[in-house]
Amino acid sequence: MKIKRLKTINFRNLKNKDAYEFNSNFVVIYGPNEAGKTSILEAIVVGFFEKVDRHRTPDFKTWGKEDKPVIELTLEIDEKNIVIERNYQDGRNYMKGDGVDLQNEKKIRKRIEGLLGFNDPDTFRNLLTIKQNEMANIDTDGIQREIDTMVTGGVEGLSVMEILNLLDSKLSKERDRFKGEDGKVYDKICRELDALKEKRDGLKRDIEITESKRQQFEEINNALEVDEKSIESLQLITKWLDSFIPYREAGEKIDAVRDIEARMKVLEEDIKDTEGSVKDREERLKRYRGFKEKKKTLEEKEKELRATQKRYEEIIEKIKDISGIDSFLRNKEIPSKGDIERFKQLITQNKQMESTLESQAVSIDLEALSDIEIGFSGTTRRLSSSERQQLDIKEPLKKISIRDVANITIKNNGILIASENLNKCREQMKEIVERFGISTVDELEQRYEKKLERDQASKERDKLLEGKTVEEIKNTLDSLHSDVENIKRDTESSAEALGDVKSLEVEEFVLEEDKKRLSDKKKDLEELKIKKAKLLGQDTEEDLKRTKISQELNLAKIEVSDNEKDALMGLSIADLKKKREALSKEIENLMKRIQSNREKRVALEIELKHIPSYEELLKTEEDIGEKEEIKEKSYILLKALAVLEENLKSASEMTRDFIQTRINDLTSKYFHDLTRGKYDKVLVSMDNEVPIKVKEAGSQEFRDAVNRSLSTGAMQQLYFAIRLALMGILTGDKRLPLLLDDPFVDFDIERRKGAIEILSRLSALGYQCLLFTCHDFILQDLPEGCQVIKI
Amino acid sequence: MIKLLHISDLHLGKSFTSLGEKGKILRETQLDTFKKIIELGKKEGVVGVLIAGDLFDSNSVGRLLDVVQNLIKESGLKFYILPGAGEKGISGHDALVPGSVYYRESWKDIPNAFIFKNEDGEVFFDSENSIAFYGRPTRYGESPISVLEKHRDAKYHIALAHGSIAFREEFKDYPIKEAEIERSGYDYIALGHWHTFGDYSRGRTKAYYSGSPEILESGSEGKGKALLIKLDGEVDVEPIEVGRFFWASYEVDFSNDIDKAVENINKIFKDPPNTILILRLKGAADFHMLNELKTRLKGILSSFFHVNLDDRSVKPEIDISQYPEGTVISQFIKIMNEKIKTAREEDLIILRESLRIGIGLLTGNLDEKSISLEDYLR
Repeated sequence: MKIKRLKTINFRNLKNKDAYEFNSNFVVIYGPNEAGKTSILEAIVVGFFEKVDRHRTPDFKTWGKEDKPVIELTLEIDEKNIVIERNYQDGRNYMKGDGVDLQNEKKIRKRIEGLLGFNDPDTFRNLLTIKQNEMANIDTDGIQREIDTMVTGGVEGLSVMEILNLLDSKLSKERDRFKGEDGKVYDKICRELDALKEKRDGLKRDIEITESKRQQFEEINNALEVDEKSIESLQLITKWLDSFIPYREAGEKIDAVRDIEARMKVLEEDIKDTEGSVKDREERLKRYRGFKEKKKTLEEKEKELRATQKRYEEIIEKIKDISGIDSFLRNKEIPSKGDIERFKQLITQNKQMESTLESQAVSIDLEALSDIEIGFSGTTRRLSSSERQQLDIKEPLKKISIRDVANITIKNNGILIASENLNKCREQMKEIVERFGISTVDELEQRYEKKLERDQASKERDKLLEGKTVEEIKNTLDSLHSDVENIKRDTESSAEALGDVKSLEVEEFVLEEDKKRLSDKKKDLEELKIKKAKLLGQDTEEDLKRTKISQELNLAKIEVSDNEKDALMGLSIADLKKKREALSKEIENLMKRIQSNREKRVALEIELKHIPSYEELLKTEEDIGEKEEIKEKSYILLKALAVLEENLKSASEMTRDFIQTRINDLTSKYFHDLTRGKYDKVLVSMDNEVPIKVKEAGSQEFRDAVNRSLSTGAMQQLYFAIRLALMGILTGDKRLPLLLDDPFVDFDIERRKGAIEILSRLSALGYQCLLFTCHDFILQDLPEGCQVIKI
Repeated sequence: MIKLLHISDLHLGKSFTSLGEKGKILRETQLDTFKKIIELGKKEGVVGVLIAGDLFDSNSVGRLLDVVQNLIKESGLKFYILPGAGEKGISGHDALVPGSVYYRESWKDIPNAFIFKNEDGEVFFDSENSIAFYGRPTRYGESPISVLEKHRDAKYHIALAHGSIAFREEFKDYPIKEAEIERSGYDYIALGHWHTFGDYSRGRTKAYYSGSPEILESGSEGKGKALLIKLDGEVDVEPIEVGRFFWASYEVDFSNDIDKAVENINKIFKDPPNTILILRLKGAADFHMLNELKTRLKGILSSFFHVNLDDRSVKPEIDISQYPEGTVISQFIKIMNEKIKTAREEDLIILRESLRIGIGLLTGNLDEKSISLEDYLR
């Protein structure tokens, strides 16, 4: 940045017509005392920073002039001009140029701050102006302030120290726990949050307890409902059992009585049977005994009869049986001996004749009898063809027996004669045969012998029969035989009647056994009678029946489910009674439980009348949400402040170190150049005890520049070096103009030259140097290109 | 034509922690909206109101249950209610867990409420209208769609399901696969669990999320809806706005035209008294800009029911060239910027705030008061 032009109206002692054009980077404003050099310097500061106050007349108004002043300052930035006008006449501030046209002071100031890096006249004076009267003494406090200013960045904010002090008051040493002033607020927030959370938890607990009580209430209610239902059902079952048990008992008694009765009946019948059987057995025994006697008698009689029989049989045996002969002979003629002989003769004759015939017959031409067989004595043969030719057989014959031969007309006479004899013989024989009815002689002989045999037997029989007939004897024998058979049968029947009884002893033993059994059964019967009586007790069977019917009627009225009935019906009376007892106990327990649950329910009902506020819980949750947000914000702020403190401290330390080094380096360089190489090192410290130390070239020793004082000139040169260094470091890249109010008065020629050279170098680097002086010797040392304005 | 109403996720009795005192008003509004739904059901002559879960925000309901039960009972409408999500009684919603609100004895006195309590699913059959309603309470990690034998006499098969369409891996709480919807054979699936309206019909099965009838958080467009289901051979779905409040979020970015953004707030939000606005400021701004914007917004935002102004994303605008090297402020900015660059996400807000306050104090844009906790919170 360069100050290009300055025009003023009614500003101190400056002439209104004048406008100062600063065309170079190195401008020397030369003039005698009171020529207006300081006024120019002042006008520049006013141009930058002095806001027009239309109600006030500034003290820099030219003495004696009516009109208020106007200051017009033209700046050149990057080869473009910006004009700042402080017009006290119209009471306005202007900033124009480079696309800017501002009248608002705030904006103007903002803009200027942007250009300079600061916006206050004091900083401007402290940094950019070096006045001759300031150079007599090194103001270490001033330097300190400058450095502090630099450390804060040279703007309007708080200094680092101020910020750190502020943070210290906000944050405790234990920063993380925020126990400082704000930490208390944070703690309060935390406490409030904790309290809210505690309240929320309490409400939640209350609600949970209520919820659990309500659940308990509903559970108890459900349990009661179940219990009440089940007690109802149990009572019904009990009632049912109260009828069912007597019903079942009566039924079972009736059944038992009937069973006993049936058994009694069976026993009675058994007894009766056994009695009958005993009686039978006794009778049978008696009979057995009779049979035995009878058998003995019969056996004896049988013996006797058998002897008689035997005798008769022997007689009969001895008497030839002629009945066969008789029957053989019956109606048959008995031949005489002569008949037999006659017949024998005839047979022999016949045989002979036949034989003759046979032999004759053989020669007969029996050609015609081709079909005739011829034979005798059972033998036949076919006629040969010659025989057939000999026989005059008109009719074809199939067969011809010898007997027929006689009847056959045989042509041969011889045969016919023989045949006639034979026929006579045969007729005689036929006569005998017909007379006795026989066919053979043996038959005749047999008949004769039979007759002889019958006659012999009749004789012997008569002798044996002793006057009796065979029929009589046979009849007697038959009767004897029949008697024996009868006796035998009787004996057998007696034996049969004895049956399987091995012996009478056995039979008797069995009888005794039967009697014993009978007695046992009678005892059993008695016992059954007692049992029945016992079963019935006072009741009669009718009573039991009545009970059964009446209980059955009761049962029909009780509504118990079929399943339950089925389950119960399957139980014995003993089990039913046990069940009944168990049910009573169960009912009793249920009653107790129901009672206890009812009491609990009433208690819970009372407790549940007070329901904790859900709305309050929700509101508390919302308060917590809000508070959490506040807590978070606070946390962020406090944490951010702690981070700020820490980092600001380190930034400050780093800046301080940075500045310190640069100040030392730059100051050393400037002081070295100004003193023409006599001094080569300067240490500017923030340590107030020895704020500035210098070292001569070639020496190792630093000496206190303030207390072991340098010469006035050297002190002023040191001050000048420090100011230049500070300006260079602070303004940085901005290359702000440097305003020097006759600072080299006490410099010797060489060192003044050195100073001019430095300014010349700075102006070459782009720093505009405005050197105000009233000493003409300054003009002698100026470099080329330096603009000199004489006023 | 037969009509039904489908709603879900009313979350009656919810606490609205971000709204502070106004939470109570929102809770009252939730109940008003429920009443409005009942009136709508009566007006339309619906044969059933389907609630696909999360009727209550939790199983701890206090007297709210009496109020809701009375409303249901007196409405005369049939309510088919599916219990909601949550594994634990008090910390979840109105899930069917031991102690669930749906196990209360008092439901026995409400014959027009049909609650799906069978864990294997159950069917309620409306013989008059030949509609079978199918539902199964949610079980974590399992699909909530009932696989039940279809009622033989039903003309329409309507299912209720509380779960997430599992088109992304993380939706695994009560996952519903899209193919499941297609295969289900239902005419309509009334979905719940997601708080915004959505059509997830697949194949011949129509499936919709009704969303919350009274919006509960930002992220939903428009006001809460109830779905009017019309059965006339086909299934027709008509969303009807029933909620009172809009939940809106709006962003003002300092890198854009602020004037326009502010102007837009007036234009976009037509019903500020019924709007809950999350106003996020972002971008880089210096103290003047931020304060100026806040002052400008103050007037505009006062007409809203509630505004949550979130300036945590605003980065302090820093023109480092303003601060010459070798000054504390430049060094401080340098240190802080380095730290911000490598900071964990959770530390960013603290570092940025520290940077903002530091610059403010160093440049004089903030004073001592602004770092006093009480003033800061104010």
